[in-house]
Amino acid sequence: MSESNLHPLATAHLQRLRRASRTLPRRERRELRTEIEAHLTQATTPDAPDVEVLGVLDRLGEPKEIVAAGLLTSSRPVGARHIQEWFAIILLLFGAFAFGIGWLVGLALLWSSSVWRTRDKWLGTLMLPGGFALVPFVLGLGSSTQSCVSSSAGGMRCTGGSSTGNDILMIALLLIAVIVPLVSATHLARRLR
Amino acid sequence: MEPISGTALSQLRRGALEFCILGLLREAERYSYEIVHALGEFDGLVTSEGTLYPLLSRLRKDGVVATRWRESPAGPPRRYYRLTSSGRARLEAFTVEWARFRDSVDAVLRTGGLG
Repeated sequence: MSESNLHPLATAHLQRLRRASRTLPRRERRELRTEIEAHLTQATTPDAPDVEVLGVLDRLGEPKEIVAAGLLTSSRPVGARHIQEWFAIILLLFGAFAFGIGWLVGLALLWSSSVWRTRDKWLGTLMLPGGFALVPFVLGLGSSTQSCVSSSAGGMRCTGGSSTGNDILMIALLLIAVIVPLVSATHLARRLR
Repeated sequence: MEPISGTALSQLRRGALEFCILGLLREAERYSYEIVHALGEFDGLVTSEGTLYPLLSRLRKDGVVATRWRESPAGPPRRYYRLTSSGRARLEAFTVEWARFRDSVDAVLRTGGLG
């Protein structure tokens, strides 16, 4: 469906709706626009007389009025602060540092939220379980790649340790441990807008 | 004629409209534009057809209607709505209550409550 197939007055109405609907949650906004666009496609033709299209638009109602009805029935109350959801994000990132319990609480908050879709919830769960807790683990892994044993002559003989390959691997793992939870958390936070 | 308070009437209309939608779906599934257009044909029932779309969306979220997409003979695919068992039960309950409510209001308005 393309706006170019619509009468210019219908296109202008859709553009006003697009501006007015910014206060709606993303999913509801998209759904409303799709429905209104489908309505206009069915009720008008691109070459219909202006007076006929104006009649259709008059019955449809002003974009602000339609959006106001959307806010009344919205799953998100106007000005909702999503306290539960923000707690969930924080706990998913840092909760594992509290003996893992915090992360599990974050998980419970994530899955009990009505704001996120099931796809978002799976993303929040599977994108690096434990949040940033993997960072110290990776750092510990880096320092433990070098192992030393006492030799019979009284000295120390060390194997492993720092090498360019190991360093690159550690840096890559560290980046993954930091970036993946951040991306996941950012995605969840964006869904709250 | 003295105008009726807009708020009172719009609240009454909003409350009744969702059951009118369920009523339209009692016998058969319909697509969204068909529902909106059909309700718009009734005098005084809908002030702005566009405001029905958010209502349809809420009914779907409440689980009283279910939807599916179907190809249309011309144009984009259409979202068809049908009653769920929960929606049917809600409609039946409202139909009974509405008849009592309407009869009582009519009686009071007609006789001034003097029987």
